[in-house]
Amino acid sequence: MPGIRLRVDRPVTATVVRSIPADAAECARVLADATADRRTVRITGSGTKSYIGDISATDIELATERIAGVIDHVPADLTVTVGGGARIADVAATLARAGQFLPLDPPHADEATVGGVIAANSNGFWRARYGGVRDLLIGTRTALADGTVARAGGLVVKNVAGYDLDKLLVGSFGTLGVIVEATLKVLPLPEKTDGLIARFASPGDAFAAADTVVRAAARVEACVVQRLAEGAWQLAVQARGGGPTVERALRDARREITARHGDATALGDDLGRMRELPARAIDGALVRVSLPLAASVAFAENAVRIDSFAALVVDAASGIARVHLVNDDDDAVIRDAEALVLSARMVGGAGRIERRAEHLRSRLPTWPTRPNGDFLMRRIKDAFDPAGILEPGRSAFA
Amino acid sequence: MRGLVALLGPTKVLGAHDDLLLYEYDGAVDTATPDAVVLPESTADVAALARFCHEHAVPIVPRGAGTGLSGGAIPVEGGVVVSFARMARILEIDVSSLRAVVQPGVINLHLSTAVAPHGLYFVPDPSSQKACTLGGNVAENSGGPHTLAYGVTTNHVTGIEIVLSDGTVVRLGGKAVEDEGYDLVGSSVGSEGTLGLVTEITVKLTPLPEDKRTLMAAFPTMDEASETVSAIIAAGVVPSAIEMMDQLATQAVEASVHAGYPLDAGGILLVEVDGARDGLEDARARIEEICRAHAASEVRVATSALERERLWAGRKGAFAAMGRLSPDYYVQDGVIPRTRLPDILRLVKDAGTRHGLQVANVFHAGDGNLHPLILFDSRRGPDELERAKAAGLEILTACVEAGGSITGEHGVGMEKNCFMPLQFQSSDLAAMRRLKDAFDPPGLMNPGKIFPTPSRCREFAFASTAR
Amino acid sequence: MSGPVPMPYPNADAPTQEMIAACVHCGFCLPTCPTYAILGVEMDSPRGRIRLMKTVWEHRLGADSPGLEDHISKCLDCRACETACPSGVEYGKLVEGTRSQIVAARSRSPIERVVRVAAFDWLLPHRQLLGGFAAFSIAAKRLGLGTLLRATRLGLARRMADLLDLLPDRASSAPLAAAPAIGERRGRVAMLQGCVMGSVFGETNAATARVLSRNGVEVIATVGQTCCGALHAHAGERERARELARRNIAAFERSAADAVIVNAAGCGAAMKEYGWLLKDDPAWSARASAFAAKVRDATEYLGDLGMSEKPGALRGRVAWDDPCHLLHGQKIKEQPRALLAAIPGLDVVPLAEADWCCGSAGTYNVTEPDLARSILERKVANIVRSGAETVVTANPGCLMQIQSGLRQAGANVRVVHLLDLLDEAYRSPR
Repeated sequence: MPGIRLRVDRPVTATVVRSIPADAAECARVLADATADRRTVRITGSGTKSYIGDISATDIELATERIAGVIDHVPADLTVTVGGGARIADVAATLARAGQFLPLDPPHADEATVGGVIAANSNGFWRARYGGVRDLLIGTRTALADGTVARAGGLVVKNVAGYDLDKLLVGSFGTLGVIVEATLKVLPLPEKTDGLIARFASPGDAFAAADTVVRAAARVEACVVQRLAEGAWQLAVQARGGGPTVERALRDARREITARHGDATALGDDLGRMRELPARAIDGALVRVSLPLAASVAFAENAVRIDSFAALVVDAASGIARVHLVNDDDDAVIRDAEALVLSARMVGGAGRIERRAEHLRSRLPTWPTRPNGDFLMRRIKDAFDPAGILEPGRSAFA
Repeated sequence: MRGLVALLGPTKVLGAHDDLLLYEYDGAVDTATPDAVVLPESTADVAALARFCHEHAVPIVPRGAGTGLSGGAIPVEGGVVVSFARMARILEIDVSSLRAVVQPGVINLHLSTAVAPHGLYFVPDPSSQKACTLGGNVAENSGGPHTLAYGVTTNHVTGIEIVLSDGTVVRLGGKAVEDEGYDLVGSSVGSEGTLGLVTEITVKLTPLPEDKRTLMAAFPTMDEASETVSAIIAAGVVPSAIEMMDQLATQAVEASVHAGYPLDAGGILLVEVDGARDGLEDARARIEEICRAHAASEVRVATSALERERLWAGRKGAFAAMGRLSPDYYVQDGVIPRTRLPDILRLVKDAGTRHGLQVANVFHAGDGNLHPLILFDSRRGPDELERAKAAGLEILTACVEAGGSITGEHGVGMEKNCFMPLQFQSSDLAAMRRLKDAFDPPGLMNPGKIFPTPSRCREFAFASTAR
Repeated sequence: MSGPVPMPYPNADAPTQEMIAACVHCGFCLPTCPTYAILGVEMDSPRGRIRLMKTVWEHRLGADSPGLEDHISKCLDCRACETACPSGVEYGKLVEGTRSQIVAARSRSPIERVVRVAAFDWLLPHRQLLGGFAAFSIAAKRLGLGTLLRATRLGLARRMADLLDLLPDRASSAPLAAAPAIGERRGRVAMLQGCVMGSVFGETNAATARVLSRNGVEVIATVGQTCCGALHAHAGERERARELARRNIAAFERSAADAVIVNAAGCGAAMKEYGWLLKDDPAWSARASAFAAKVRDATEYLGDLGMSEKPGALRGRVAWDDPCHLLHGQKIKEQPRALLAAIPGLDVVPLAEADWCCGSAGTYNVTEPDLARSILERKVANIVRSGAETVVTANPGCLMQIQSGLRQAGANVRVVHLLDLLDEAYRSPR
């Protein structure tokens, strides 16, 4: 590969070449050559989401770590442009110096890169308040398999020129290209953050309280229901904003909780622990579903009755639920996990096995069901990566 | 034509010359006459039509209320115009899931009115919301004044049913916030009818804000008004809307709506904050203070719902009120980073002056989305529109050079497709073309839109000025 | 510009290019148009109709083309689009102008010509004739002629049966109303008797005079007045409308009134436009404008003047329905609502789509019966949903149409003119 600096570094297997391009152009050349040589490529940021999908061995591991840094930040425009390999934590630090923040709280937030968060559509609990990755992302530059770098969207918050290819990249798991640059919406840091956590005897009470909080006049930043294998149903609420608004939000939440026979105490790092469930769930299987809001409570009640049930975290504001299943009997884990995903599908939602113990990888596919329009997804994949070099096998649909 | 009638029945097909003349325009300036117009009443009708057109290689152009401002509904390459006027039912209001399922012909405001008894609304509120359809909103990814805080159409659509050019019906997404696999819903919103015909839409509903504060501030010049916008944002206040209007626009609006805008102000801002009652007064006071610090000659706070409606009625009727200043106008929709407002507004004015045309400005200042209305009179000769378009092109070029976009909410359509190379390089456009080909291999869905076409764009050869 | 091209329209009543150019085809009018709501086609929307007028100027469509006539005659002329239009397009003038051109451009069958002469030249301008016709028709209706006509299953017969349905069960014609001011005199007005009002709703004229008189307004009788000509203008018979207008202007000029009061919204809207109607007649244009400036709807006049005497109490749930030619034609919205609210004891409930046409629209029932029925059904459904026991409005066409619709739907809702209701309140104990 003339002209390309390939650094062989910490090979995973003897044949894997680790490529660490310095910029977008170099990244594109790596992909062009790989396409020409029919060599497969896996893309890594910080490697925090390697458990998702079905990963087969590739010829090249392309690391985005040098395509990092904050490229542009104009505080008054409330936007930031960063390299795809930039870590969320580093971006946050830059923004904080200007009194702003990136309103995104994905799992693995300490290590995750912006490109990885986009590719994995990795959201946290702030989604209902500020929108998810798809709502915050306003522009991208992506190195494609043919060696070109395609730009979509732009630097401005409103832009309908051409197709919204940014959306296509969100949740694409690197199968369409390498995100080398992203522009995101940011917000001024609010003056106050406060929260509470409450315990309820029944899921009905917990979810009814959550539902009221989600619709309340003073919008909260996070509204999450949790249930562990032992213990009560919990509702965590966090509000951020101006002093009077935060106080109002928590006052209303507390009133609702009391009316539902819950008891509220101050919020500690509960939300952080709930958010990092994917990081902890190294055994058994972790099911992640997105549900119509009305289906959340029934899904949750059903989940906790399952034999393998270990933990449940439901973002009551967006309908994203995670269920951790643990059982000595692998067959039970597989059966229960697949049943949960199917049940989500049956109520009009969708789901996947987000994580499973290493030894279950081959037996438990990430996607037990297929989304509608998967034939379009395959056509899109073929159009962007005709040689099929990018993340082969990572996604069931590409 | 006869085949269509046999397929769908005579009541769903228009083919008479007199009738077709009335489907050659929309809310903008370009025109082209269709070969036939079809008025489907169901998804099955649409699928049958698509199969027919696929078989006979006939282009299909979707149309909602025809309020679009980029020629999206104009059959520039002929073919069949599909009017969704008869697919206008709200199919379901799911209050507990905060979703509504609608047909594409439902009028934007009708949805918000229908869900208001449940304390909910549909956020995107294009100025044409009394008339425009949700299908059109999905096609154009429409915005509106209140998208500053709450996002545009794509942020409020979770599912669609789409009929592909071969007649295949696909349901994408649903009531859940996301589906697995590529985000085909997100990719389709804003595709201007070039990927398929959307026959059903699932949208998010949002709890109505408890209260609002609406301020109208008058400034001696547009510069002061522009600087105020940045100052408000910099102060950490994110209003739900910040709208700006120049003196010419104010005068046209006052003649039609009597919104109560001062006629002597060089620039006017309309600022709204909404949410929980607590904290709104603080925000209002803060905004008022910033306005006064930037030489506002008057700051008026709406004290009643009626007064607020009046202030907004002026803004929402502003485009159409241009009919009072000039028989024709050509509106641009460029976007710039909002910090560049003062420079670009000066440039807009100069562009008008250079071409001997007046320009009125009414726009979403909060997100830097300009709407220069270039006034002309086509009765004075074809040269008028040409000059208006030339001025428009200069403005768009400046927007892209400032790091912005040629369109923020009106779409590219057939009006700006030749200008796409201003903003995008050929490799960018090639990537978009891949998505198009995956959805619509024969290229029958709304051809001649978004992508530059050799026949119409020969005279435009741009080097992309985008970074 | 190229040289003069032949005028595509037959005469100077044509919709002017200037007025057409005010339309920027934004489409804001579409959702307010009753025919677009039903038919869903651009040709039957205000924007589409204006475009048709424009294509005639562009020589792409003839003034005698059947498409033009079809879509222009489907227009209710309710003018809801005018209220919605941010560009201030004067749609009513455009559509009436176009109708006059269609009438001039198209040759008509002998039967149609006879009917037009009968209706527009004999019946409407002659109150006695119209009264007699009404009395005859009502008698026929009470004798069950409607059922008989319907039984024939002939389209024309059924249409006549529908027309009979519109008529009230009783007609009241009254002599020219005049009344002194009671208490301090606050104004002196003349009143239009009207053709339909005078012959079918004569009692309403008397009630109007009584209510005005109670409020210190002297009502003086004006002889020599005739039909206002609104129906003629709507039907494109502008010459006939002008003739009637001249007679009315001459008659009312002789009376020393501060204002000319009209209690039929359709007539008031037409008379306020006499200046426009006679703009090209040098002998009359100034007189017509001066006259038009004095025309007031009864609700407008009394609402603006304010009530000097509080009416007595009535009971019941009532809803206000805006006559199109009051709300859209004359932009009168608040005054009738205020008058209704001033009657103690009434429970005024909101009526959805009160600003929506009932389908009466002059002679629309006759010319477009199917569309008129669909539009009426929508109105009736809204009234039933509102829970009102009484619907209050202020135009004879609306009164008849809504009454007939409610009767056909089997709804027991009373329909009453606002001035009749006020009169009733004044007679009721406080």
